[in-house]
Amino acid sequence: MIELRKITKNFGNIQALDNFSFDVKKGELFGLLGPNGAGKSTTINLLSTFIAPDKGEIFLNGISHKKATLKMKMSIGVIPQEIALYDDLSALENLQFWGDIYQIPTKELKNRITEMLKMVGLFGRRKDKIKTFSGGMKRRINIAAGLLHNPNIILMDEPTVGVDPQSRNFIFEMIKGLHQIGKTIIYTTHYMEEAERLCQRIAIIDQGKLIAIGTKEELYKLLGDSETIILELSKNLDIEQISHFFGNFIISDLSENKIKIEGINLKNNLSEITTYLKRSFINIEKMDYIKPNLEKLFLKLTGKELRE
Amino acid sequence: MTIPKLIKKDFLLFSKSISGIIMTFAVPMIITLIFGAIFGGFGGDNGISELRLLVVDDDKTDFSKQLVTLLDSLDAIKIYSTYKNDETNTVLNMEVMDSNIKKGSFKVGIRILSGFENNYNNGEKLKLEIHYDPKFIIEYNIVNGIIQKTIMKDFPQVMMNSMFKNAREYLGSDQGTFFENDMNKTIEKFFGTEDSEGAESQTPSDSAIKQDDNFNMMGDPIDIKSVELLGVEEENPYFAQYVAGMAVMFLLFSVTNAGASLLDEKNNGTIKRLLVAPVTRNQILTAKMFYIMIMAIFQLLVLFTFGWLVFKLNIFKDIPALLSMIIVTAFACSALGIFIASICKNQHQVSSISTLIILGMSALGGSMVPLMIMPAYIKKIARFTLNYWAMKGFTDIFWRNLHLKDIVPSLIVLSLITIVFTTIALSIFNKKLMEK
Repeated sequence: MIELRKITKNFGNIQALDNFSFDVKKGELFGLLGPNGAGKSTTINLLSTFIAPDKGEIFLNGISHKKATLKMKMSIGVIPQEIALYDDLSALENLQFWGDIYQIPTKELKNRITEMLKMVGLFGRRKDKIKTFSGGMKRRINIAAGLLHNPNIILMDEPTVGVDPQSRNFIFEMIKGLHQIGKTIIYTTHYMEEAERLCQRIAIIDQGKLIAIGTKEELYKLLGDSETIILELSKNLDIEQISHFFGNFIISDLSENKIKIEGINLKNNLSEITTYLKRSFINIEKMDYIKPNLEKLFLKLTGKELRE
Repeated sequence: MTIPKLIKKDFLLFSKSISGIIMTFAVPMIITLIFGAIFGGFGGDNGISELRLLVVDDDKTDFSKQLVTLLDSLDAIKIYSTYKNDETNTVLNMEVMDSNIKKGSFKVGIRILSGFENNYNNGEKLKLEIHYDPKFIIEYNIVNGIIQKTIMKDFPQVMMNSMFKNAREYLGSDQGTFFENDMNKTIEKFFGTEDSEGAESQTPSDSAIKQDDNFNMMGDPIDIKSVELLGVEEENPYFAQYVAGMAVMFLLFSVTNAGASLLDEKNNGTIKRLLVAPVTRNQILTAKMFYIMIMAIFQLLVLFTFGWLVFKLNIFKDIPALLSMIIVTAFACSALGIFIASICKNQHQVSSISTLIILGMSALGGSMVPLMIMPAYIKKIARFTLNYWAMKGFTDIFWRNLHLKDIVPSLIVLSLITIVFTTIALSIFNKKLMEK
């Protein structure tokens, strides 16, 4: 349904996307995960026809972007990262304006606005000005404005930035609902947890390049069999000494009395480690087993933290 | 030690704000410079330019011609007593003089009434008329003063004749003759005059002198009648002058802010959202231009209606001309406003740059201070401002009672301003809207 082929996009001397390709199937909830400046918003801007690529081609429903038509624009719903609403207008007035822009017939628009306001849980506040809303409420109206014309393809650019946990959960449920009714969704985020929680397939990008792509499970496999344990100890430990005894593992100091141990087959060697600690008269106060995650994958593939 | 750090931080932030620096230092300096130039003049220019004076001589006697020659010899005045009519120099008449003043080609003219020399010989008051545009009250006063001074200085006999005539009237024929002879002898004693030679001195008895409290022997030997050619029908004529100036200045401020809303919309993401919807850049810009122009027309209509209701400004003199001026002024101001917005990055920058441009242009163009009191070189600069042409058009209608065909030059200049600034602004915005 959506296809990006070898896309390159530069802004002056900055290369936003470099030979970037992926495809999204119809009805798929697809995640674009990467740190700030990775090229996520540029991808959304390209898909929404706001900007054109320098090289490469984009296809929506098999039609090239170069032949972008009114029909193509009508099939896309964009939820921008910014709260692209008029602060001095009420929620209702904003939605009426955006509905008019998408040429929705008056009667149908009235019904759609009611439907959208109920979906985002703000029907009761419809006559209030946007500037009186909380960040989370604004985000919800921002989403409603992008969905009024009932698009098949929904492009969501970090729709949960700066919202409270309650609104975030509300937005997640809304996205799941849209996915369930067959909408194709591209969701960008720099929160690993969001991508893991929502998306069927995830593309990890950094500095305009595609780092990895696949389902969660497929991506975890890229981590190999490496495991991580974090131990909180009763007293400080000599890292050099313990590293000498357990050379197969990477042992690092996290903070005072807290160490991180990484390695293959770590669980099976755990008893040897605990025995060593007992002999050194050190008790284990707390032990956390860290499951494989996209954060670790990003670290492994790029050598840096996802939130850098 | 926190407070100094906070102060240092504020200075650092201020130093990073070019618009803040401009507002704090450059704007006051430039405004001071402009007003200084208007009221003080630069480099020894005393501000008053040579006065062009029309003269109609209905008396056509040696005495009236002598007065005209004397006035023409003064550095401060240049006399125009003829005009070109079918390639021939024709002597000016009152109709042509008044028409030139009404059109604004001249500010002031004098008419020497017939019987001028006769009155001089008889010691009657010398009758003159000063025809003028009341906007130029300073020029009127200058001409009035110069005429009085010239007559008194160069024709002292005027005063004498008048005084003798008054003496004869108030003291009676006999006593008056005694007075006249005595005066002539006194003048002869101190100054020596041919007229006093051989005159006999006859002293009237004190008891014979009329006792009249109203007796004013010196009197005023010159009777100057003021003829205001313009604005006399207005109940509040000076409002017509100021309404145009203020309307244009405040219109520029409001349209610039409206233009800046495009920047706000770009910065808050609504423009981007519109562009990914079925809307083109040209549609967005055209809609914004129309909105600003409609608002500007509305603002001018409201202001002139206010002038009509409160200051009795006659807005019905020539409705097609007034509506044409309102529309082209609104368009020109909108074009300039959106141009200013187009060269700025944000609302803050628009505020500071527009303040500088609009206040400067308003001061130079006559919105704040009447152009008539400005030095000649500032009047020349004023022609390069939008305010000048807008004010000229409006004052031509309200003040000079001119019609649509007469205000065509103002309409053309304002239309050109609209085309030029709109083209530049739309081209800049077209690129700007697509910037990340």
